[in-house]
Amino acid sequence: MNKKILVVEDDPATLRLVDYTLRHEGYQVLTASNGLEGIRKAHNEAPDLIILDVMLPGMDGFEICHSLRSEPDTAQLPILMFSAKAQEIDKDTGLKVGADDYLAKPADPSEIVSRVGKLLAQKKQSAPAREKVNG
Amino acid sequence: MGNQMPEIKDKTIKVLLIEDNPDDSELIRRKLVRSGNSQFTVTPVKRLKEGLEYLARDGADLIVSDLGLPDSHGLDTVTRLLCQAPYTPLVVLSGFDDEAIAIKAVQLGAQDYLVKGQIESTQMERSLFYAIERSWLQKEVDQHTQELWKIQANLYKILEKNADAIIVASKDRQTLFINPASESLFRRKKKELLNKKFDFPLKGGKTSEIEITHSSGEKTVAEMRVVDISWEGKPAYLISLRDITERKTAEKRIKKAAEEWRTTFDSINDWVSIHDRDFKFTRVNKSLSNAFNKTPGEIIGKYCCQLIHGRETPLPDCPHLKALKTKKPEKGEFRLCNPDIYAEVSVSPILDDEGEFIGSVHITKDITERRQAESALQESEEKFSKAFRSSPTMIAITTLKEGKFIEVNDSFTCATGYAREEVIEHNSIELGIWAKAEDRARMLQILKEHGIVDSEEFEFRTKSGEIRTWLFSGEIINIGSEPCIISTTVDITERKRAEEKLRESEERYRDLFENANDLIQSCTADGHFIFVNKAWREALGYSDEEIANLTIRDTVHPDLIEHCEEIIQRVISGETIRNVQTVFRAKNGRTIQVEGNVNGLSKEGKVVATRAIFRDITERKQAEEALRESEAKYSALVEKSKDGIIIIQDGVLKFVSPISLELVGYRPEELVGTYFMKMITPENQKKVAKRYADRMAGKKVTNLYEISLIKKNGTTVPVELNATLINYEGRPADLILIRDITERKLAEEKLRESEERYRDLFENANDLIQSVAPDGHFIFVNKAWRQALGYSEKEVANLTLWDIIHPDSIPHCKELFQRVLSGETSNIETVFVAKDGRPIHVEGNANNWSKDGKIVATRGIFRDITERKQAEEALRESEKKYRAIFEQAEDSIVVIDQETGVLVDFNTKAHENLGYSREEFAKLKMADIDAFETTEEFRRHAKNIQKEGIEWFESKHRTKSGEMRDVHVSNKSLNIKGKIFGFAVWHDITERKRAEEKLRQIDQMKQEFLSNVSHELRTPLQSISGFVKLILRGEVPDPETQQEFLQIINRESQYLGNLINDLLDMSRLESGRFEIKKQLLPIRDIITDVIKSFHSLARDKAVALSEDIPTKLPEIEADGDRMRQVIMNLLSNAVKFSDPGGSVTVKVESQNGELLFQVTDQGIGIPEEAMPHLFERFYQAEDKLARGGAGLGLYISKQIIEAHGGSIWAESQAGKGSTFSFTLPLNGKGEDTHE
Repeated sequence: MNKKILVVEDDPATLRLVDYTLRHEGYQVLTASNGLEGIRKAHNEAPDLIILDVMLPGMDGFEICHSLRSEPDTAQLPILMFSAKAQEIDKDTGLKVGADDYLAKPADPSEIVSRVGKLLAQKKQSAPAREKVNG
Repeated sequence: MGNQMPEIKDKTIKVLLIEDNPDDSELIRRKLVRSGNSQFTVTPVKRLKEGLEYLARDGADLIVSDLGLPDSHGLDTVTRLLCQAPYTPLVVLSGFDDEAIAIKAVQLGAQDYLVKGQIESTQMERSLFYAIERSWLQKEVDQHTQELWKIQANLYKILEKNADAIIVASKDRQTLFINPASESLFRRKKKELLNKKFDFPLKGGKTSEIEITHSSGEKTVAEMRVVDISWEGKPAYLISLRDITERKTAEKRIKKAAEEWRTTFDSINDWVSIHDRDFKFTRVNKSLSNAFNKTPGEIIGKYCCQLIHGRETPLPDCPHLKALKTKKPEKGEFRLCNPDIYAEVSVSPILDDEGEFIGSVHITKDITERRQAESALQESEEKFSKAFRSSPTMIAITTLKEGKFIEVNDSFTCATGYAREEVIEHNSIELGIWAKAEDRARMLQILKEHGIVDSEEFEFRTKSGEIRTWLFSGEIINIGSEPCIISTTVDITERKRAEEKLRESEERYRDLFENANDLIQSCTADGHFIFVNKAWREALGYSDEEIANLTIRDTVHPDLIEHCEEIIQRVISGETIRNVQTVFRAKNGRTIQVEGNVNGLSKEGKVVATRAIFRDITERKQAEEALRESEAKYSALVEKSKDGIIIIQDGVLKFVSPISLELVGYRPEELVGTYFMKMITPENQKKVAKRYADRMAGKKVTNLYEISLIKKNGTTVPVELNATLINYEGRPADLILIRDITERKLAEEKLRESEERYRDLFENANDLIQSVAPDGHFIFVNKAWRQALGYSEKEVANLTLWDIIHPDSIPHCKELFQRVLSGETSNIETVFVAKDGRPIHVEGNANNWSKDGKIVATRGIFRDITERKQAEEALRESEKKYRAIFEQAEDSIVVIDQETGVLVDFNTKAHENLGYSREEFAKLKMADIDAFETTEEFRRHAKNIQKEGIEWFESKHRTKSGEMRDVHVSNKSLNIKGKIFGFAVWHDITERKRAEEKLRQIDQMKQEFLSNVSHELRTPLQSISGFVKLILRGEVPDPETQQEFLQIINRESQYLGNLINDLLDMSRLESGRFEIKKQLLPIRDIITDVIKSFHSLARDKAVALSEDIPTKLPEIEADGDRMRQVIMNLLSNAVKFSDPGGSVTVKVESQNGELLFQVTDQGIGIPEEAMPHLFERFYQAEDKLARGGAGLGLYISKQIIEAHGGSIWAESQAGKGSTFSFTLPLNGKGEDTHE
């Protein structure tokens, strides 16, 4: 079963690149061009992972991330922040608000793939552990 | 008078005969000429006029005149003749019928009258002679009367000029005469004094003192002398009064000082004595006189050594002698014989102004006890010594061989005058103690023969060289191995001398007796002469043989025999009678007035004879008699006057009043006829001579002056002269009253000395002392004053107070001066000006000085406080300087009471900056201003500052209106007089803070911008590099997809290029290198071209793009590329911020000479707070909307439009969309094309 990945990105060119690259790797890709759409799809489509841009019209990526983390069904959802905001402080902010990883633009498409792969693998491993904790 | 008659008879008598009847005239003439006894020369005239003329021309000895004359009749004739020749005797002729008129004529002044027809030769002659005689008598009487008047006038002058007050009062004490001096003494007008009752007790003859109380309450003491006189024929009192107030006051003061001094002097237990240069006592205290059981009077005048040491010469180590040489205080210790004590004498020399020794003060302490204590100590060790030393006989131990003194006792040293150390170890022969050197050999011979010398008489020489006779006893003793003589000696000189004196005195007496000028006699009780001396024999003219048979009865004046016998009886009964006056009768009957003493000569307690010593006072008696007579002619006034009165004419004393005896020791008769100048001391002669000459010449000279007169005994006496010019014996003379002013002078001298002492004190005071007369002139100033102001004494004399007071201080000082003159004592601080112009600040006080109730001067004592003032001034200057700095400082400065936080002082900035007035601010505490501090915190804070010294911090202050201001404060604590003050300096840093805030914001904007730029660059790079990598790796096999990706790459590259251009534009704008290249453009084409380029984008975004542009638009002058850039930017924004389905409308129109371009979208709109910042660089309306905008587009567009002379703005409604508009000016050409 192909993993479902939600890409929230307002730049059409970047969206096209990520969409093409992930599909090429065999992932099922959902896209959203703003925050509201992204959150809605994150809840409704139950993606396995979200690639989240930061600089978005309306809600920015940090807010989306925070919002997703505060909802039980998306709290554990692996989130890869993918942003042209490449400073350390941005990365720190991202991780602080709940992102699992942070990838600065411009990035090699293979790197995107690699990060996504890693996060998905982590999810597999950490999920039972978290259940344990919960239990 | 009797003896004048012959003269008349011998002389030719000139007779003036006035008779109109020629027969009568001839008859009388003949009778007169025929007169046997006298020769009358008769000049007959017929008329009175002729007679008067003759009298005036030739004069006459006698006038015989008829009463009835052609030109005069009756008594008129008499009157006119008497007027013409008052002293010429007048005999009138009358007829039978007018004898009554003749008698009247005699009453008028005619000497006699003759009745015509009854004239006999002899009767007439007698009558005429009597007339002449009577007339002369009359003349003499008149002259005497005149003389009397003159004397009376002089006496009156004396009374008037007398410096003493002289009052004549009747026996019932009514005042009859007052002289001017009385007016000043009683301080009343003559009117008030005359005919009043004289209230003071009148003790005739005695001098008494009275006290006059004036209306002012002041008192005058006067010395009063009352004498009985006859005043205008009635008995009266002559009262002379002399003002002795000053003398009394001076006396009292001197007496008090003397009393104090004497009390001190006498209460000293030590003997204190004052000696003159010759060691004589001039003053001793009680202790001293008591010690010698003598009265001070008995001691004064004696020599110190006589009294104290019983010697004629001073001791060799006499401290007085030493002090005489050294002129320094000296000390000495002595043993005295009587009283028997040890004394320590300290002598302080008294030096005169030249440093010459004029006497000394001796203070003698009885140190017997001390000495005794010393000797008691020795006693235990040397009993012998004590016996030896204290022996009243002189004991000496000498070596047998050489006569060297081994020891002597005090009696020895006392008697010889040698100090012990002067004799010990010295040879007695060498010292010359043996008066005759061979005596010692004689003594040794006796000693050798008898083994002892017992009371042998030898003569010895004391140190002073005096030869004394001693009874010498001696024997040999051995001291150690040396044979010595121990000798005891007793001085028998006095005994010897007494014997000698007795013998001499007898001889002297006999000699004296024989050669005495006095008459000496000795008589038995029955009056027989035992002896008389030579003078007696000579005076009475008896020989020795004759005297043997005489008794006193023969030699005394018969009238006085009884008196003499009485005296003899009294003397025999043991009385001594002094001043016996009697009269001797010489052998030749001459009387000799004698005066003397009579006493008895007793034998075995019984008076057996009288002895009398008389002095011949005959001459004196005569002189006295003469004196009495001469004095008798002066009135009691002159006699009793205490002033000497002299009259000088031509420099010669014409009259001298008796008082002169008292004054100068001369009897008046000794002086009359001598030159007054001789009595005047040489230094006064010139002065007196000049005054005398001037006075005689009629010049006005001072009447009253002081000189010194030489007394008979050669000493001088200070006197006060009061000279008046009088007429004496028809010529000008000087009447001088002389007053002895010795006492006054003494009192003055004492006063002067006391004044000098004060003057000295005053001169040497450090304070400036001045005395100023009410007119402002200086009466005196002291040395310190002159030094401080730099004036010499001479210069000061010409200064007034206003010359030395600083001009600024004069008004104030004038007021003060008046106040001081009115009696206030004032503290003064003022400024003097020294001669060199230097101001001298002084501080002091002044009071006034009055005399006789009148203010005569002010006195001021000042201290120079210039330095203090300068210091104050410097301080004030410094304070002013700091105050100015303080006030003008840009910073706020406050001084805070660290305890309470009260603002003690602050500058203008401090209160103005916080919007308070000075008054309001003064009421505030630090906590009212500081936003963070309460008073408690402030105190804690203050303590901390106190520890650290100074503290800097930032704080916020609240202004009056409540606005908060940022301040930077530095606070330092200072301890001023034990109180801690905080000095806070702060400046307002609100503006800096704001600028900093703005900078910080700009910084943040830059940061955000960079972050944005980075983001905007990375975004297209991501897609470009991503697609390129995919393609390169062959992961995009599909050619169509490949094509799509390449187009994206192309587009993104372009975007990237635009972005970079924007950044460059901004950079250019920033650096001012932004260029506009204007040229005429078809603006419509440009707008439509740009819109076309957005169609695809709008389609992609599902945004409807519509346009409303006039078909014809004028060409405008603009930079085409730039215009395109602006339009693209606005369109791009509009599309970018439009939601899908929205629309963007471009509207262009030309109006009012402008081209208006508008882009309207229906997007989310712009928040109101963002509106003012839209066109600022780096500003992005909202991050969320930032889509490829780096916040530069609108900024650049604005710059471009404004560079074209247009304007750009935005309007927006949140949620409904925005409209961005710009205008461009249309030029003339453009409008033309519009046509």
